[in-house]
Amino acid sequence: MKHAIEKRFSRTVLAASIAAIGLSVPLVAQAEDDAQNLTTPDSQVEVGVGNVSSGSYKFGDYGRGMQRSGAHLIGNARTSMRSSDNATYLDLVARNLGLDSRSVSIKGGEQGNYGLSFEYDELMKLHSDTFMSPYNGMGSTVLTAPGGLAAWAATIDTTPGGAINAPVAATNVTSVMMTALAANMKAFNVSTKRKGTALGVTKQLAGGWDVAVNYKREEKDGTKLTGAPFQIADKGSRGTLLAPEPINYTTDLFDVLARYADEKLQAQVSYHASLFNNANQSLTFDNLYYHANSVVGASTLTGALGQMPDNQFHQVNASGGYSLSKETRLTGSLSIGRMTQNDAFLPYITTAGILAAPPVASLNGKVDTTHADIKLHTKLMHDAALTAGYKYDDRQNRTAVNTYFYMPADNNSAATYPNNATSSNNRRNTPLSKTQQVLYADLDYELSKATQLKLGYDFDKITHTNEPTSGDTEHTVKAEVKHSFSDTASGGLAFAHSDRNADTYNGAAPLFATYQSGYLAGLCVAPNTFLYNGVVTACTGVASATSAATIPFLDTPALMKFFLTDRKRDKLRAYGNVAAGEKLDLQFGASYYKERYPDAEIGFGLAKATGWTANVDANWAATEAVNGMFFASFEDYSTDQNGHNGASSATAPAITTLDRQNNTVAFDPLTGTTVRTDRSLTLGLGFKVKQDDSFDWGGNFTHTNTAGSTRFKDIGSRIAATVLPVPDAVSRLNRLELFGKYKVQKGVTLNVKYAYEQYNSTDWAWDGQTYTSSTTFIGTGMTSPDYRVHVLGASLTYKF
Amino acid sequence: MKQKYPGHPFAAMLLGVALALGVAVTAQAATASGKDLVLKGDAKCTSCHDQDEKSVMAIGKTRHGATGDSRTPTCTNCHGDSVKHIEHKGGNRPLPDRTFTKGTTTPAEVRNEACLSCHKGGARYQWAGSQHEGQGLACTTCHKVHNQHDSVRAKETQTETCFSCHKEQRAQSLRQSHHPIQEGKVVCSNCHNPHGSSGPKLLHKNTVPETCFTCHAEKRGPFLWEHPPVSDNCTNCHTPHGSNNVALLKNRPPYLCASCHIAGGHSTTGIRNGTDLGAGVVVGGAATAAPQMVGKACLNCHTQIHGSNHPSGARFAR
Repeated sequence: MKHAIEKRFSRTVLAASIAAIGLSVPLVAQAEDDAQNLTTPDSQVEVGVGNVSSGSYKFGDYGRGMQRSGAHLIGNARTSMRSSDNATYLDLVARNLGLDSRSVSIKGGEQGNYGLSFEYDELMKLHSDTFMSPYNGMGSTVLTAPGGLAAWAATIDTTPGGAINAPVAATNVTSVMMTALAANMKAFNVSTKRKGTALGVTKQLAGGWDVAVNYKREEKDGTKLTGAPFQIADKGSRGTLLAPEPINYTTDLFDVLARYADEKLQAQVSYHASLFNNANQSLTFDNLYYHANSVVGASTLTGALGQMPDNQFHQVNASGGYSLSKETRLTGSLSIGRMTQNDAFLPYITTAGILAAPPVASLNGKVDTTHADIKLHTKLMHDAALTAGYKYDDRQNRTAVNTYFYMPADNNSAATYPNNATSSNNRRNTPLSKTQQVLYADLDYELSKATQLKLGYDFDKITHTNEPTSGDTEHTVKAEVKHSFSDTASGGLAFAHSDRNADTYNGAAPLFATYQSGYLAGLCVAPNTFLYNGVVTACTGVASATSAATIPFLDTPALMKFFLTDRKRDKLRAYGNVAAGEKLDLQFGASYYKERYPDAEIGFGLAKATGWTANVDANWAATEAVNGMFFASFEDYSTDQNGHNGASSATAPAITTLDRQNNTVAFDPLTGTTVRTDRSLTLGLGFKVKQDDSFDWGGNFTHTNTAGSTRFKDIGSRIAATVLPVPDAVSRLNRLELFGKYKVQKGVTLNVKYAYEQYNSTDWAWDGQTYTSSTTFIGTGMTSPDYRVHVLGASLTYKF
Repeated sequence: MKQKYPGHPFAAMLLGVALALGVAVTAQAATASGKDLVLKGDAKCTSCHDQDEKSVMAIGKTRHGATGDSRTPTCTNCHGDSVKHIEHKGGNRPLPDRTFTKGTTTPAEVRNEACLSCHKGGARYQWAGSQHEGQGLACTTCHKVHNQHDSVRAKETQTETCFSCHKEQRAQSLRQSHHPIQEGKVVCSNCHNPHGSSGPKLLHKNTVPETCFTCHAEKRGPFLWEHPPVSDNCTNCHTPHGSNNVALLKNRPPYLCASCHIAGGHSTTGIRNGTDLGAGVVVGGAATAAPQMVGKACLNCHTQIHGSNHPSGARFAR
């Protein structure tokens, strides 16, 4: 029997089959869509609204831009497009579009051929929103006293016992005057904003070459707080205050480079230029203090601060690496640069006709920099590798030396600052040069599959000019051992010891370079002599019962500057990692270091610095959907500074400059040690839950507690009765963040975020200080930051 | 006479179903017939790894998935030919020749070879013998090659990677004075080149001051009056990752300044203590606070501490 299918039925079968094919097409398309979704870059746009409960400069500082209370736009975007036909691409990232920390980055081109980039970024630095000052014109380069200086001087006239040109005591005058100022204080927010715009081009060339050109312009505008000292009375007495200095900086950065790469050789040559321009040359400010020479009605006194001068830096670089074999590679670089600065000088003082102009109209400053290094890395054998190298850094300051007249602050009379052969006011500039050479070798040795040993040695040699030493050498030995105890536990221990030996320390040497011989001769007593620029020069001071200086010395004998003197340093570090099961990772670490300055230990200055840290981290993957983390870090940093308490000129016996050497009355061997300690505790706790495919949520909590203490020990009898404790400066930050992401539909997510931040701080430098706490420093009214801020945000993210 | 169809009576139906199924699985099983899904020559891998497990397919979202770029590698360029892995039948399939996931047994040096075969130049030319290489790190310790967004290359997420080892810097970045690191405006790679450098501490630039002057060009000078510790090294006074003291200072003024200056023109002032804060702050303190102690302390007057270009600025007050 033959099977036969009716034509009608056959048609039905074919139709069904075709229909099945038809139905399968969407499946095919779906499969292709799935594949495409897996391989096509995502893009997303986020738009929403956030609200800040209360404004705080500290909270909104830097990138957050949320220093104001109220609503703000949440705007973020990240798009990425790549052609499936060729290698063209376009990436865009935009962040914080509704805040003062907005940024945009666009990169596009054809991969392997060329690339173009554009970046824009804003950054706020919020210094203070509690600053107060009596000046008019804050934010500009000219700060004027309210009501004119004459009005303030009129206040002075009311000082008991004082007439305008002959006050009984300067302190009486300033007290009264500052009280009057307090009534005129005005609030001014101090902040700066950076705006950076960058452009870049890259081009891939044939033969392994590629070139790149980058340009960035950064503009920084706003104000910062700067000191504005004034002459209060003739010679010596000055008062000061903090004034808002206008910032109007532009920095242009250029980089041009060409690179070559093949299997063995990689090299590049480049040119870098950094051009800094300051639109403001000076900040002028009316004198808010009385000054005997500031004659009302004749000439009022205005101070002037020289702002940061325009400068340039140009540098050419060549660098590269060559693989001598699979085991050995040689790398090196050479950089030659020049820093220049030639901004016009301000006059010595603002009042014309009193002093001659500086010897030159501008510095014409030049500093040449040279860097060279070479490094060899080789595998000596299967289980050992050696890295050895040499570095050379040279900074040659080729600026011309001239003699300038020193006026501590603007002054209407130069009479009290003599300009003669024995004057301390004739000062030469002392250009600083430095050369540093480093030799180093590091050996990595695999003791076993589980244990690695690292040994290293560094030799560092420095020479410099116009410093108390001609240079120093430092030897450092290093050792580290790492061990894997099992597949789930490992740890290590590292130690380094450094020993720096400086050449003979002569604290007077820099002074010899800047003062004239006639002045220095008066600082030591006859018949001693000293060598001045190679010339034997006779001391002219007169010996007394308390004065017997054999060489000129302006500062404290036996004072050692920590970055120039002998130093012994030890560093110890231990760490461990434990995987406690598949779900928990633990990390532990601790470090300790100690720096000793032996010469300062028996003299003055920074004698010791010690610190230790400890940290623990835990990462917990409870389930595939739930994970958490915890960390804690503690740091303690402490310094010992040996100081003294020189008696004042009012103390018997009177102490003069000449007495500052070999005068045990003026200088106790050790009057006391200041111990400064900063401690910080940081804790973090976080978790994340992937509830299901449509809902993620989680949170983070951060706590930071810092305390800076100042203590005194070994206080000598001279000042024991007068030393009072200094309060601790503390800060405490608590930050809670909660977030949730709910997938509303395919490609659309609802985001909700809540943050609470609490910050408390106290600082004796500001808190409790009034405008008139000091008679020579006008207070600002600034207080330590303290805030509690809630931030709530809701946004929608569209993913495509 | 009834028309007869040759062959099996269900042939047509089977043909139709086969066509339907055949087309339906085309996308998923195309590789069975050797079709690449993402990269040129990836069929031998994507015939199995055609889903999102371990983000294999996601390589297509990255620069390494740009097949229009003749330099773009295929799976086996990085993972090795992996013949045993491919040809194995049954369970306990051997791993590919080179794997990069956490806990891999592939040595870091071997993993890095996969990357350095193309990326040896540019910022990575000093990788051999660098600190991170010496610590046994692999490129994939930090980089996520198969992710569209490699978190270590994004400003807002880079620190997650760096701080997973550098705990002290993480804590310092949370202190009251810090660079805008936590805020995602300044990131580690702005200053450091983790692949190796000629400068100290893996800095991009040759010296510490050169690094700092990139953003703080106003402090570069050269000034008429130079402050020696400034031209020597910014880290004499500053600690860059975060500090309890204002302006990232290692110690607070006036004590920082007293590290080097304990007399000078202020020899009568002695050791600064609570007395200098004034009676308003410390019981028993002086009648008036010392300007060298309050506010910005020494910098109340010596405000141009990074250098002065005023002809009378020898003491950095002008």
